[in-house]
Amino acid sequence: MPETSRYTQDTEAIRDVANSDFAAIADDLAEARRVFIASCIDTAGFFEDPPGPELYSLRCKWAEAGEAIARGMALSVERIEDAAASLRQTADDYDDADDQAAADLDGINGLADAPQSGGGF
Amino acid sequence: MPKDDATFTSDLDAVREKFQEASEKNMREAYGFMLRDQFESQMNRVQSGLRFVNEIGSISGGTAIVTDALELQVLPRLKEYELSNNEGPVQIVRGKLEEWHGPEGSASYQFKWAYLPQLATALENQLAAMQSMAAIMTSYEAVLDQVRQKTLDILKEATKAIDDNTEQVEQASSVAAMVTAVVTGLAGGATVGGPKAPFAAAVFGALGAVGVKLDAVATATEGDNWFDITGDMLEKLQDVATATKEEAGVLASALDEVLNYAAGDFSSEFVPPAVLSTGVSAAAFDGFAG
Repeated sequence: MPETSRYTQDTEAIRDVANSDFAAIADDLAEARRVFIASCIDTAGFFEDPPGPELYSLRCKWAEAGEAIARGMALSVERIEDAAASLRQTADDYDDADDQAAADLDGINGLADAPQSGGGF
Repeated sequence: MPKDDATFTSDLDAVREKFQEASEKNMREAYGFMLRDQFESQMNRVQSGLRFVNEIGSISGGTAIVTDALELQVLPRLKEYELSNNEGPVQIVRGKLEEWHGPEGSASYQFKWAYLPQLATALENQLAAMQSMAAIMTSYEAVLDQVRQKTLDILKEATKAIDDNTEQVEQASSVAAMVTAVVTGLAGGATVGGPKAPFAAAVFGALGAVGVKLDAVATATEGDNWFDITGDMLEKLQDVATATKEEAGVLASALDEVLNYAAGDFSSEFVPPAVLSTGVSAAAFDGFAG
């Protein structure tokens, strides 16, 4: 992405968000999901063979909803980790662009400082 | 009503024993040793009718494990993701990136104004999902609790009616009246917080109807003799079972609302958007697939 004066970056803050804040959010979701699966789906509170199809259906629906939530949380963790990786890459790209700009500037300054041959323009 | 499974089992055994004693006495006084086969047959039907309460589920060994895990471990961890929380993690991220600016279409613009709001909504909806599941399990626990209470009440009422009938037969009045427990409503036990997210509002709306059928089941039993009284008692126990199955339908409709958000029409609001992380340049958020 070409950088112009319209852009400002704080790559340190971007990396901090990726490495600290997004990591903490992903960790919250992963841990909540782990407890949810272990305590709420696997031991659902419903007997495995309750009397009547209505109660059996309720037990199945609880498990279905629980599994849908767990799937959504797993996907969320994955996407948040992807977003953190993108933020880190974004910060790297900004820094690379700055380094390149500095190198280019050094090159231009070097050209300007070089002794002129041929008696000028 | 004790929620401890062992205490309930003990209470049920005690009430059942009194029912058995009252029944035996009534049969002796009213019928001598006649109709013994019919008596045994009816008692077997009573035992079958009483099995339902133990077959539908446990509280301390079942529902309470789920609600404790949700309320003590899961919900506290996700509580800070409420959108109304101005000091939540997403707001903190926004504050940290105050100095990251760019015009419309830039990575910073996309991240702040397209990605972050959807992330915040998804996180709140995951909190709402857990609140909803906790409320549904709490409601189921209230149903189980009420089935237990109704069963004990029906047994006590039947025992009292049998004792009264025995008194009439004996022309005596020395039997002490049994205490009839006050029927507890479901309303007090079926609420978990008051989430504002549309997700949870739909679930809590469905849960509002839980308990209506079960609360309406009468427990008083009557009849002119032991067979009439126990026949009426069996009908009341069947009413409890029927109402419980109807309550299961109400709880299932609340779970349908959860599924609607977690896997159905609103599932895009349940997970944060995907970000293309090809790792080439700061264009990652330009390719954000919101």
